[in-house]
Amino acid sequence: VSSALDDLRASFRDRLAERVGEIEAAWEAVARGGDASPEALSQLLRLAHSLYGTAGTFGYPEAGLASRALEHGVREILDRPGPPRAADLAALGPLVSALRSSL
Amino acid sequence: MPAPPLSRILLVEDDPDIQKVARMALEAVGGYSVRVCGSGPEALAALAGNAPFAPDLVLLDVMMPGMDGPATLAALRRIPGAERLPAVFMTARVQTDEVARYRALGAVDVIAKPFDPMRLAQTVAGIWSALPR
Repeated sequence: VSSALDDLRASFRDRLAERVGEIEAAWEAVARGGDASPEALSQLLRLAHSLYGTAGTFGYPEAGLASRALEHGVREILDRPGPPRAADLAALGPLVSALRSSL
Repeated sequence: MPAPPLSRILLVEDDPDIQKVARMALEAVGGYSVRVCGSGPEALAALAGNAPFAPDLVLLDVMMPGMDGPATLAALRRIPGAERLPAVFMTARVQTDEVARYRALGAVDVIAKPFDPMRLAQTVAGIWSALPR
């Protein structure tokens, strides 16, 4: 069982990079695509939230914690009434970069 | 009265990576029979279809696209035979108020994500044995 789990963890390493790429793409849609709609932000939130639980489960706690920080940042924006403020959106960029750096 | 054995588990989880590791943990470590469904509607179909899967317990991801875990649980309760099926939420959001909300929705317990795959089966067994009979 331990060996099978090690195999799963090893295969997840590639998947982890892919999943961070998906988060970066979702962030690009917000930052450069100009789509800061609740739907676009919710997609970013969902991807970050999911990666938090998954990365930690597979033994990548740094990536998990970086995902969680991003999730919290997005959630704060979504929970705030009114359209997202530019400064709040800009603050997400370093969180996405930190996630990439955690790999 | 000793708890009846836990045998069949329905895992409702949209994340394919978690599906793999949880299935492996529950089957290989716990010896359980596991059926995995990737969404709430798929789980409801598995329970209510022509060849229904009859689990002893269901593990439900909370945040799923479309029908989330709480909505799935509410719909599951309307399926004949599943009204009292023990349901356990699996989620990364496990603050006290959030856990209380899940219990109020009818979950018997909550398993936090991330989880240790080597201990998942043991955690589920503990929840099972603590259920009121």
